[in-house]
Amino acid sequence: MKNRYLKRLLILFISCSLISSSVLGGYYGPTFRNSNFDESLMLYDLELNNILDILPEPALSNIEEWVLFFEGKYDAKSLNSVIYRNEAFKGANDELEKLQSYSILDINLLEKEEAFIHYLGLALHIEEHLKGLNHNPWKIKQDNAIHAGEFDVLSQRCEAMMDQSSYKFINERLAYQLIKLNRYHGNYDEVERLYKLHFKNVSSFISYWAMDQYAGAIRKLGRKAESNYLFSKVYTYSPSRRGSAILSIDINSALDMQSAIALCRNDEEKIALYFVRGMNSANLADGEIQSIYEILGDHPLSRQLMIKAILKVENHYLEFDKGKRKFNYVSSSVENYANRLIQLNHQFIDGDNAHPFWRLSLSYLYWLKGADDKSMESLGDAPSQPGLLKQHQIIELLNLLGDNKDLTINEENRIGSLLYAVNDNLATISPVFLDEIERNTSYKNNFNLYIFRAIRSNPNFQNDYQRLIFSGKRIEKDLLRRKEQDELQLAYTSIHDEQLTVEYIQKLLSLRNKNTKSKLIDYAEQCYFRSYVNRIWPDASGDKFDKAIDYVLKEIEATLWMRNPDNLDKAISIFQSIPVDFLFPCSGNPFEFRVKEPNIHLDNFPFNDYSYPDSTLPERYSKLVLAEKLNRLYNSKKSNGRGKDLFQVALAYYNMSLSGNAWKYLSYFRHSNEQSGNLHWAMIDAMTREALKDSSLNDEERAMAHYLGARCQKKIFKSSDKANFFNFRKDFNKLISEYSHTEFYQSVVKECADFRLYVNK
Amino acid sequence: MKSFRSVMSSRAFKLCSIFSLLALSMSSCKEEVHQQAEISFYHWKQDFSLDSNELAILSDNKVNELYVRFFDVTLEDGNCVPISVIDFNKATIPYDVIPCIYIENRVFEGYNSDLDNKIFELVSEIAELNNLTISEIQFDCDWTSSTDSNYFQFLKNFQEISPWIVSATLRLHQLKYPEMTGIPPVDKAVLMCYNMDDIYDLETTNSIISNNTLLSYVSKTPVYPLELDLALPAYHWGLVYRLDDLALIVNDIETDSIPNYPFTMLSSTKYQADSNFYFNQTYFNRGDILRIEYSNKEVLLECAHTLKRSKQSFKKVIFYHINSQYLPSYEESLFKEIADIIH
Repeated sequence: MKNRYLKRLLILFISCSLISSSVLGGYYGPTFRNSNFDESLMLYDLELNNILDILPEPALSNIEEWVLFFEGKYDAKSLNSVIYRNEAFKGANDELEKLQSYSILDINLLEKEEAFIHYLGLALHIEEHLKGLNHNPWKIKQDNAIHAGEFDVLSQRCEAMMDQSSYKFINERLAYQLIKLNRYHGNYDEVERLYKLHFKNVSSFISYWAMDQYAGAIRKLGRKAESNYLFSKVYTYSPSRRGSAILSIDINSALDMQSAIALCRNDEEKIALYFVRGMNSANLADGEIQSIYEILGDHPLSRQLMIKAILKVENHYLEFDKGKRKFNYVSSSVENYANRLIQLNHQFIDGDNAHPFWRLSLSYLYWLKGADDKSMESLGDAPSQPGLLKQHQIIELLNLLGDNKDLTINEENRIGSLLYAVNDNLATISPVFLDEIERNTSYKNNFNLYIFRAIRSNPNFQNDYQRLIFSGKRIEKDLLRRKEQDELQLAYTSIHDEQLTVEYIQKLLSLRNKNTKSKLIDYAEQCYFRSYVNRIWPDASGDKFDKAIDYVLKEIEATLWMRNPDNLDKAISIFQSIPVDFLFPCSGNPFEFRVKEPNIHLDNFPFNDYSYPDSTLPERYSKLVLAEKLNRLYNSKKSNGRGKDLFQVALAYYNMSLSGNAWKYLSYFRHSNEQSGNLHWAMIDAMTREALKDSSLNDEERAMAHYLGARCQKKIFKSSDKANFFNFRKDFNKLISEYSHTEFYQSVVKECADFRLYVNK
Repeated sequence: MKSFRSVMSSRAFKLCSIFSLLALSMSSCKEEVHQQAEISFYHWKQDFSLDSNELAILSDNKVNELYVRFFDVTLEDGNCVPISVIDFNKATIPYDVIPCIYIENRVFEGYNSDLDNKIFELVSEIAELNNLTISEIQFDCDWTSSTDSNYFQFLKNFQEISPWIVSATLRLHQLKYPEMTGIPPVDKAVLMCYNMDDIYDLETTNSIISNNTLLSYVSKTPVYPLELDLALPAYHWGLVYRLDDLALIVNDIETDSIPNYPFTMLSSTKYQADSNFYFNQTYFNRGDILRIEYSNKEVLLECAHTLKRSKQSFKKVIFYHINSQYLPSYEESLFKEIADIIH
């Protein structure tokens, strides 16, 4: 607990003192990849790097500044570990030694290193001091007098260090520390003096952090217009302070706005104020886009506001969950808003040298409204900038897809090509499976998902194979081929229409090889089967990947045949026809008799080895080897009448059922709530009864067979309404009356609570 | 629309009439015993102030006690913190002050063991700094099934450490379904008869108060097993709907100024913004729908009668909230009239 607190404190310190970029606050627009009009794509080309927070890891921007300061002697990762750490500051010498141990270039930067370490130590001290100053929200009277002496000491240390330091980079940071220190002590006039002394006409990264403090101080001095003006600059030019800056901007009247505008020194500053107002999450921003247009014409900030506006409209026009547009059901207020945005787009397009962005946004708005012809007409030629090109491809794709359109093979090919292009030729970056989407809510409105949902609901994509690859349902869960209702709800339910069958797999194999495959189907296959094939042939592509899909399906078909001992021949024949790579050994010994049932929660995944908590690595068989062994045992019973072999087969099938330790031979998934996979209890029970008819079984084996029979009866009762709960008693009674002398009986009494309870009744 | 009377059989009507007469005669008896119905007001601003209008209203209604919002409790970074703490501005307050603490429901999603102490100490500090003598405290929390146990435990703990009478607010559904929502372990409760209907629905006529909604909650509801006071609305606001969703609430909206701004009147209570502009400290966007909601005299009286006919009895009527902008629009005698009906 203490360490965690310390870590948090250090992170706070680092973020305040070493100018890290914090994550942007919630006021700023859409989530990454959460829309068909994908802001993340547009960012590449809008030249907004200085305005929008597009850095993948904001904390690194600060570290990278320090990397530059140290001329590459230390890499970002090392500096990160020096700065972002659990340990407190250990003293200048130790810290210097630690820093130098990370050196990757043999250059002497001792002076810089010492300056950094001293700054680090002071910044930490200041942060600790400010923490002590922290207002106790549960007290009216705050007792800060005791900190006054320490304030003097820290201020003097800052000033002394500034006098001594020859590095502007560090001096600016020291000035920032001093400003912050004074602000927290309520010395607002001093904050103003220091800001003007050190940061007037400076536009460095740190200067905006200082400006943020300065703006807060002059707010306290009652200069609302000035502070609004400064906070808007912080918001616009300092992504790392944007979250707090927008909360500090307080413009509630036309007068407030006019007063702030009056302070602007140029048009860029004026439009920043409109931009900030437009970016407020509640605002529609069309008015601000127009205002910016009137001041500076086509400007990156108006494009950013248009993205925000489009996302608002999109939320009303799209049903992401269904992959559909709902343009017939939107209200007039939404429609009017969309029309106003369309009008604005036309205004930009009609201007000179319109940025290609405006055609894309216009085209997408038309598409949202269902005006597909106008959408394609507006889309124009593909832009050359990669981000804009991707957005162009997305809009073209959406138009091609239409609503439940009967696609030609050419259109399917084009859609497939576009899907590959938009996803950097990687079919696997999009979430396909419902359970995957469930686990990660950021996938909810993913573009690829929208396309898959749209195709899923298209009646022209309804053969079993197409349904499968667009379904989002995993084959290893025996498909659980559930009704197409609410996807998220379905991910939790165990209700299903149909179990995975041999016939179903055969149909899939036949359908996938029947016709010429379009690029769209190819893409969907890649998405769907990549995770299956990767387990075996991670680098497969082209024909090899294509064949691998067949092998995956055939392996499943053979496994399904194997679920019935009468079909073991068929299973063996298929297993023999596919490459041995696909017959990787499963874990668990099917012929081991354990009284205790394995813990189903410990072992849900087919490639783990945790059937029993106490087990070492269990025996492994390949499915082919096991099928052959089972076939021999099963057939030997037929010819020789030996019940021992049949009992072995029954035991193996019980262990390979979803309750057994060797369930992975016949199933790909198990869950205590999902009744799928191999559940053939009646068949196993019948084999057990047949084996018991054979007099060659000794008493130990007979006792085991009765116990196995009782287990099957219990399972049959659980999985069938018609079964009799009391059937298991017959076997339990037999055990008690005829086999209590066996060792097995003793082990059952010891290990099976149910049986013990029954005996003691 | 059918009248209340037309939907009743004549026999039922006669029976009702007899009971009404009986009830009337009983209430007349009550009036002989109680000279004056007790009236109070909430003060719900961060800066404590009472202007001459407000003082006059309090005086006219012989108000002795003011329910004053001291602060709200919210969660910040997982910690309970008080926000918008009242500033009495060194005012001398000629009333008994009952501190009201609004606690966000999410505060009780996890249990904060020392919240009772923190609140007690902060309220005590505020009282001491402003020479207030506290005898009662009121907690306002819209608890749910996931927070009730923590909230109720908090109330129990608070009573153990404080010498004050503890009251808690009660929503209408909590009155109607006590077996589902639980009964707060307090000395008394205040039934909040406002914010009744769906504020988010653009088609709602008046989310503040509606006699029909009130009827559905109180008409057959048994006596609540706690002493009750009653809180009634005496406020108005503007609700701003943007792209069909509730975007903003404009408190104490200056309705008289609406004609001076670019609004198109859609109905007597609905207006559409024709452009972007500031009004009442709020930035309106073109296309916004502004719905004005009031708690007017007629509905208040109707609701008072409904409450009178219910099985509940109320010791005190507290109006939300003292506000010189809006209250003068009521007739001077209205608050007394309502309190007399309720009593």
